[in-house]
Amino acid sequence: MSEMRKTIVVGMSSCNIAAGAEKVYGIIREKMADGLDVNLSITGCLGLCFCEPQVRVIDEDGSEHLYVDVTPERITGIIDEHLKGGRPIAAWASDLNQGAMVKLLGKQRRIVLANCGRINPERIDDYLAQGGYQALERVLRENRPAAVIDEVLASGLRGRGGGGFSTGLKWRFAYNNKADKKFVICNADEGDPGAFMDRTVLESDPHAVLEGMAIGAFATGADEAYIYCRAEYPLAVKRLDLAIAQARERGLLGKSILGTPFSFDIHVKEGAGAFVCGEETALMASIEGRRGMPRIRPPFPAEAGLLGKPTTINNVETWANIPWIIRHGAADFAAQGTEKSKGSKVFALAGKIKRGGLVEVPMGITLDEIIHDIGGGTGSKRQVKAVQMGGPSGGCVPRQLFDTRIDYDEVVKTGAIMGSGGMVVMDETTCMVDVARYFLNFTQLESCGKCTFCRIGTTRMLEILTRICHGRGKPEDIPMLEDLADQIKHTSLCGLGQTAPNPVLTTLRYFRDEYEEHIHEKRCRAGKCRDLCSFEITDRCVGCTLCARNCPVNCIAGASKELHVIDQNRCIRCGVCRDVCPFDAVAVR
Amino acid sequence: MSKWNSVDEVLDFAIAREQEAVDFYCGLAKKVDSPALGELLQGFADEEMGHKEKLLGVKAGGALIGADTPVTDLKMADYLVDVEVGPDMSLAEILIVAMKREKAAFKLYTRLASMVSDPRVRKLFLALAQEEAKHKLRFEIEYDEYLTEG
Amino acid sequence: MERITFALDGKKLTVAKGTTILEAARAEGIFIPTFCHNEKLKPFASCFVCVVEIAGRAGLVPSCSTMAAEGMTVVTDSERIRKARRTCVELLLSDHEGDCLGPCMTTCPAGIDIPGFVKHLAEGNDRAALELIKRNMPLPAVLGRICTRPCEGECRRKLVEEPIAICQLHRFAADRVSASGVEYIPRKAPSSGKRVAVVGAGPAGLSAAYYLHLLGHRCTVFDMHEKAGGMTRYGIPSYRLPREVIEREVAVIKELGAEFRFNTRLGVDITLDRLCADFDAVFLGLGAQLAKPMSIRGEETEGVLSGIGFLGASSRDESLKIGRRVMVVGGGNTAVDAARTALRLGAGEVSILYRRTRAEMPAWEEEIHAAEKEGVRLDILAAPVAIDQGPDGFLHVTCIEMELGEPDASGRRRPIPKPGSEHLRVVDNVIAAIGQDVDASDCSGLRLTKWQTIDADLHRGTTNIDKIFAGGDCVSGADIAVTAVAAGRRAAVSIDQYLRGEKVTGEPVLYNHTMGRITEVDSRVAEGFDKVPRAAMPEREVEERIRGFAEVETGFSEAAVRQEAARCMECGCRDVNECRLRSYATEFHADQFHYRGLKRVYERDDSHAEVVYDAHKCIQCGNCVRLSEEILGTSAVGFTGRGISARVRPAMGRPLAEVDGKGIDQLVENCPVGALIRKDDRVAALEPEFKRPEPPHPE
Repeated sequence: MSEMRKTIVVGMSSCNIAAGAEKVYGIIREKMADGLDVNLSITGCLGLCFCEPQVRVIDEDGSEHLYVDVTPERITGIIDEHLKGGRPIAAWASDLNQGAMVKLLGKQRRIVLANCGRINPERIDDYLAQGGYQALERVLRENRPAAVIDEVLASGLRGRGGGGFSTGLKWRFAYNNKADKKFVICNADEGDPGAFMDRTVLESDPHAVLEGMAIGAFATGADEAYIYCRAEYPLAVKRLDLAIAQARERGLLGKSILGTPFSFDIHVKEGAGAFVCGEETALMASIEGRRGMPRIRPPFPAEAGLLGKPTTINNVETWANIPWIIRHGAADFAAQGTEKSKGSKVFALAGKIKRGGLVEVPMGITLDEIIHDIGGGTGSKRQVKAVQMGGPSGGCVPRQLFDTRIDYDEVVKTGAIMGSGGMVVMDETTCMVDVARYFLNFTQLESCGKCTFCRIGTTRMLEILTRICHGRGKPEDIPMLEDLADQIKHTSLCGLGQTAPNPVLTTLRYFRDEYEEHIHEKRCRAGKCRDLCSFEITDRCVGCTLCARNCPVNCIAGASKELHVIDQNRCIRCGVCRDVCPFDAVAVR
Repeated sequence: MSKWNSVDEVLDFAIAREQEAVDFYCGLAKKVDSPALGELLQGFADEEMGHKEKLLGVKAGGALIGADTPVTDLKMADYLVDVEVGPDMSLAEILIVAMKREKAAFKLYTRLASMVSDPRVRKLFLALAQEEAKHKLRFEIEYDEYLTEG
Repeated sequence: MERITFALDGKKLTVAKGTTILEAARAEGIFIPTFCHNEKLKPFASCFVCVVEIAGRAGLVPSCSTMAAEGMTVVTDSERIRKARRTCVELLLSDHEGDCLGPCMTTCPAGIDIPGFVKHLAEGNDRAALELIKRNMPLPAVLGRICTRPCEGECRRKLVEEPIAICQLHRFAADRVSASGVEYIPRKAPSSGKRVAVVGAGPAGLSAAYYLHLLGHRCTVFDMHEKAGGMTRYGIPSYRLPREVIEREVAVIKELGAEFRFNTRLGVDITLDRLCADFDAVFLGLGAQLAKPMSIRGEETEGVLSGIGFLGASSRDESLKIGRRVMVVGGGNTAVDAARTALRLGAGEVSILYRRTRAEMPAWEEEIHAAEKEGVRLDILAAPVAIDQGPDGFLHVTCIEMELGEPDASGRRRPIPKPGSEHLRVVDNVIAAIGQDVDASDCSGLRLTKWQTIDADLHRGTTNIDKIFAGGDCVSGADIAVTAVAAGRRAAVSIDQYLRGEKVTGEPVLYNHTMGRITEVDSRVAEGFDKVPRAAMPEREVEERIRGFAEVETGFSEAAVRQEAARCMECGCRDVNECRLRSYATEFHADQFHYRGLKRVYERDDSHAEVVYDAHKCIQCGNCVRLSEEILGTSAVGFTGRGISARVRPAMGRPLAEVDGKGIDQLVENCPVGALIRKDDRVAALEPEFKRPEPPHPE
């Protein structure tokens, strides 16, 4: 990197790209072709997804400026003013040491995300410069696999994919099972709606995962690995392929790694996009080329996994924690968190939240701190009503339980699960019956169809929920839902079936009154269930015309500065008017 | 007729009439040979008791709201022969007795309504007549069900 | 080999390591239901009906794929397990389409194996057909003429053109066998030495006696009339049911050993107490003998007759005199029969007065039509309100016009007299045929209902007195003959249990899945059938028939029968007696409609030469898929789709025909339901022999 030139780094993760980063990148390339003299680089996602695309400018003296919400117009301005003129544009930059950003970042503890948005994920040297592969090198030199497992065990690291099983124990089982061949697998079949932790890590810091897997393979005695990645993540797959090639080139993967007897290689397997393949036995079946259907455990993968060989499966985030633990020591990792949940956890904040994106917080922090301090609440006048944790397998935690700490066992007590880290925030405009229906619809569609209770039972539950949302609910529906939920939970083969009823059970537990309103009063207080509500404009209306202009069916009448009226016959009850009204003048009846 | 000066007097009269009905069905229930019919008649008696309580409720300040739409009159009671009350009555005969009783009550209240001048009292009589018509319809329907082939 | 010890239902067992709980339980003779388990295949755990409890585990585990482990405590039967198994079965049923039995068979009150006997007829096997019919109903010649045939109303052939002439086909089978000169006398169980008194020689009593004899008991049948047949003889005219037909079928019952005592009236010639003292059990099939009164003025006038009184008299004396103008009151079959009989006895003007419209008439449409053809006038929406003896010596009937009121809470439109529409009609006779009541006044000690019918269990026939059973019209109120026949048979089973000192549970009730009523059925079931018109029953000409009591319907020719029988679509599942879904549904008292929702649609693949695949019956157990993979080494069939849309299909979306024939029999054999069946399997719901029912036991 020339000291004579400024460096401009463009965030090029899927989320940045979706926000328009490629256009920004293209403009910079054009200007460079026209003679702009800068170093251009890319990086991954910083986690601040609410204000993307982001561009970082590093001045010749090393001082950094993070520009957020970079539009094509802004990048032109940044190029002209800052890169050419040397005058940083403070108004477009975000000072990470001030205001909300302090709250946002100050409460975070970045282990897994440390490199994300900082380094160029397509250059192994960037990773090496951050101390990458030092952990692997150390364990290979020391050559004491059992000691590595002890270290991971001592760190208290638990599986970040949902279950929270001790990673060290899992490794030890695989280590203890003598076999001519063993595997490690990285589960990157991230499928929860609203979750994108794995994608971000793979796109932004793929080597951390590779290094973690290599360490795990060495410790358990495996020599081959698969990364089972969703086919819907093409950028992650591309960067993984690139990272694997670069690592092989440097002798960090392949035969006799770093000159030691340890040989190890990794294949990337693209999943067919079935949610159930995130279940480890189904995932292995899919790698083996069979239909992705779960099978009963035992035997556990550590005994008889892929192709019947002992196999260690961890998810992306778990693997990405390993290099840090080896480098910094188990004690440092275990120093943070609660008694039984150590280290940090990455969450994807989405839904009705002001500052949505990826956050990595120390275990033990409260939900309230995440949602209000870090996430900034709903960002509207409305209050947060609940947060859905753990995706379709998880549950809805109501606001009154926001003092719950991030801890595997504490979260389970609420009826939700830690899960892989999806957090969907809901406000008063969210109907909890509809939420349960949404998630159950997801699991029902994603059920592999093998087991009776999951295949048919979830369908029957979904039909009941749909009926309730359409105002055709019957009083006996609630007991029937509860009964089916209980039976499906306790009579299913895999995690998908066992957890499928959780969204229904938690919403019934905390928001039973909403179910009852739907059934008995034919009313949806959130204004979400179209058959059960109507919208009316109250006298708080100032006649701003915003609702009328946004109405998709043009059924709102009213002149500027006059009270507007909704034509109920034509209204489709989409709720857009309420969502856009700045004066809270649209009421649900 | 000046006998009916107040709503309360009307109610007292009606309450006494319902009590008579209770006594009638209770007495009949004890008389019939068939336990199943005895139970049925006891059921009628309980219903009449319910009517009486309803009227007591009205007297205590509740409202008696007559049916908005006229109660259907299947006119069965008009054409069926009188039945002699006795221990070996059949269900059909019991139904005939019951519908005729209710018919008589309906007529009584309707006639009384035409004889009073106080509109509140008249309204009450008409409401009572409607009640009796409803009871009669219930028995007529049951009799009609009995005549499945006729 | 390493062995482990664990507890199964409280019993310590030592088994080889690797033994599943299911295998261990089976070796011990413990019943655990399963669909997806197959000894030849690796454990799969998809159906989850085999769940058991393991101490210390929160959930239920599938025993088919859970290995017994050292120190494990397993329970295979508990309230919770049974509930889960029932739920499992009910969920599967909610996504299962098909009929266990043909809808004709389930609609028939007597449950005759209709597809079975019709198939025999189609194949020219009349005696086999009759044997199968008599397994459930001993009076096919009688009912073949008079039954109102509810079965035909549900016949799926209606979706093609017209229902099969089921009723007339069984008449043919019975007539044919009788004509051969060798009646079918079924085999009897060894004599029990017990004696049963049957009161009433009508359909219920005759049926009870027939089956009681088959079960090894001896009956004495008492009847107040001079001959057997009950309402079939004294309530149905001979032009519909010739008397020799009744005699023929009664003769078989006599042949079986039944003794008949006629002109013996309960309460007069014999008492219930006496019967109880003299016999080991009593069956009451008293019928509904009492004419309902019109309860109008003048009902007692001379010349006013009751429907059954008139039919009874005319059946004793076919030269009975009746007036020239006859008014019949009522809309049921008795009214129509009375009107047609009056014509035959010489009445010139016969009308039927009915309170409602023709559509509401409970009489059988064909009979109303025949009556009209013979000249009977229908006088609807009219009712008599009084009868007087006119000065002219005739009956002066005051009639009133009726109209149908608004539908009430029950949805019925009830007739209401039109004020002022009274008018006079002059007739010679009035026949009141508005129904019959039960006269059980001579059954002291028996509990009666408010309708004065005998308060008996409709299924078992049990009454409040252990020894006394009852069935037919005296329990149900006036109903059709086949219902009484069924009640007689069911009571015979209960009486047999009683006589043997067993718990009286009655005939076992097996689960029956149904695609629904004819109006709800997927029209695809009728695809692939060519239209063939229903055989028409030959009839005597009107002029000829109203001159006497010769049988109007003369019976099918043999050619017509073979063709008619071949029209049968053979509804019902060929796997009905082997199907595990049905067996478990029976075991766990499952309800097809407990869970309702989106379900499979009718989808038949009959492209294969030997096998039919009914995807709508598949329960996704995966046996065929795994058998293909693991044993046959092909991927002939596989899973497709997800969630509720998951299906088993021939690989690559091919039709079944292209699936390698290799091992197809194995696939059929291992299908736990009737989704895969051989085309040459026949519909066979019942065995022709009537035996003491074994208590249903799964597998």
